[in-house]
Amino acid sequence: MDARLRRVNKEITDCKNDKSSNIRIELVGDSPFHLKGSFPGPQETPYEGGNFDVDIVIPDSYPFQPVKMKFITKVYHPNISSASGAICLDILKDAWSPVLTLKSTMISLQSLLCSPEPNDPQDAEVAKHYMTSKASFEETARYWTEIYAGGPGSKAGKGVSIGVRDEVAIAGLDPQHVTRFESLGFPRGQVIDVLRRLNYRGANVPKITDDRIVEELLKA
Amino acid sequence: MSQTNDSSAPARPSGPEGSGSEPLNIEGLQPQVLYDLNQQALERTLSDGPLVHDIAPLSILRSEYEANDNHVFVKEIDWLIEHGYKDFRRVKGDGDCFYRAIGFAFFVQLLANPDSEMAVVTTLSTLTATRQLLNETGVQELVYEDFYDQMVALTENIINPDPTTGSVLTLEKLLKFFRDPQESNTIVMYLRLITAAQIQANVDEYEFFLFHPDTREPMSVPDFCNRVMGLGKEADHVEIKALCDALRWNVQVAYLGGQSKDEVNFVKIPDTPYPGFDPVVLLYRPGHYDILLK
Repeated sequence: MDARLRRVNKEITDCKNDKSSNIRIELVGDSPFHLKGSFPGPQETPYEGGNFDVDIVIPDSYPFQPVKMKFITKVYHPNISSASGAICLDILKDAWSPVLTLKSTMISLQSLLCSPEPNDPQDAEVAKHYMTSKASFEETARYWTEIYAGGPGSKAGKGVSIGVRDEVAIAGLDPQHVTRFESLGFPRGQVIDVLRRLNYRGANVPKITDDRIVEELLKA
Repeated sequence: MSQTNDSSAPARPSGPEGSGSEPLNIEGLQPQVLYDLNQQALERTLSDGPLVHDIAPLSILRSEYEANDNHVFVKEIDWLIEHGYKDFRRVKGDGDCFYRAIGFAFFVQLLANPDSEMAVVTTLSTLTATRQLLNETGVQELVYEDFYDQMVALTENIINPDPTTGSVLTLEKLLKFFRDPQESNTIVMYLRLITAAQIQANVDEYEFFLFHPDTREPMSVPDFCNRVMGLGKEADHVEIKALCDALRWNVQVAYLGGQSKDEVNFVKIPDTPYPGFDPVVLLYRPGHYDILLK
């Protein structure tokens, strides 16, 4: 058996035998080198109560090259792309070491959810939101956990259809702000886009003039 | 090593290398300038070729430095040649050169040992003891066992035929093994894990000597050891000492650095050699190790 397969098999078994870590790893298809990992959102964070799925690809030269991981579940976090699930974490790049395993790497992802690093962002818009108003950021992150990760408060879990999702809450905006510009005749989606892009939240609100927003809306 | 050093090298000084055909008076240069010049020469030769090269005469290295007008290095290489070090074996400058060089050179010595049976038995007993060291410092068995098993298998293969090929280890097989990145890296990783474990198990001895190679800032034991356990991260005196102590290996490092005027400085690690094995001799140029041969 080749060394990579032997190592991956041992790691999967190790994960299965360890009931205390709450990390689960399963095969996606027939290949042992494409896996799906999942873990519960850490307690006392906006991700608590959610279940987070991660796409795992084992490269040819594993464990000498880092494992490739990205979130399947949508996550609102400065170091995770809200669009693609791409993760900004040093151990997945130049700080990788062959002593790290699928389990220890997944545990590091869990820790990343506990301690965002907004100064080294993967998602610049989310990072700006975090820095402008942590409370508002957390509210949005909690809402994402609820609607995408089956977190508490979601009655139907992941089954909530797009229609009932609150697009304003997903964007982390104040509904009153959105309504105000919508009433000027701009489409709701466009208003949400522009306000999100301008980070129209918390202490930033008085700094951005209505003219500026209208200008952006007209450009859109 | 070129990798990490490249990224950290300060902006190149504007003077020396732009000064046209006039020979460079290198003796008056600041160490940093000398370092940068050396780095340029390194970059041309380090990044290509196999992980471990064939043996080459040291005069080749001399001519490279001569072409680069680097007279201090030329003088130092002349000194080495005069003192019987006529050849060297290049190791790829990928940040793992120290571990790959010492690992390869060690196996070459084992192969050449007149009492190979005894040398292999001694080595195997030392290797067995490192399992304990790894376990004690909390390295998971599933992480180290492939690397450890490969190190043991290669050692045993010196006297026992390999079950799949039916042949014992030869220099040719060893070269092929060390030139295959996956195989070669198992040995590099074993040596890295042992180095980190030795530091963690002997914190009192090492903790005040752990500095980041680029920033020179002090590092904590865990941070330093995490770095040691990653591929492509260069090694300095601390790592060499730790590895030699863990495996009871002896190393001599010939430092080329344009510091001393009349001779090349050989550093013996450890100070008092472990009995049984001749030292492996490495040639160090700022940021890189090769194997030096008589």
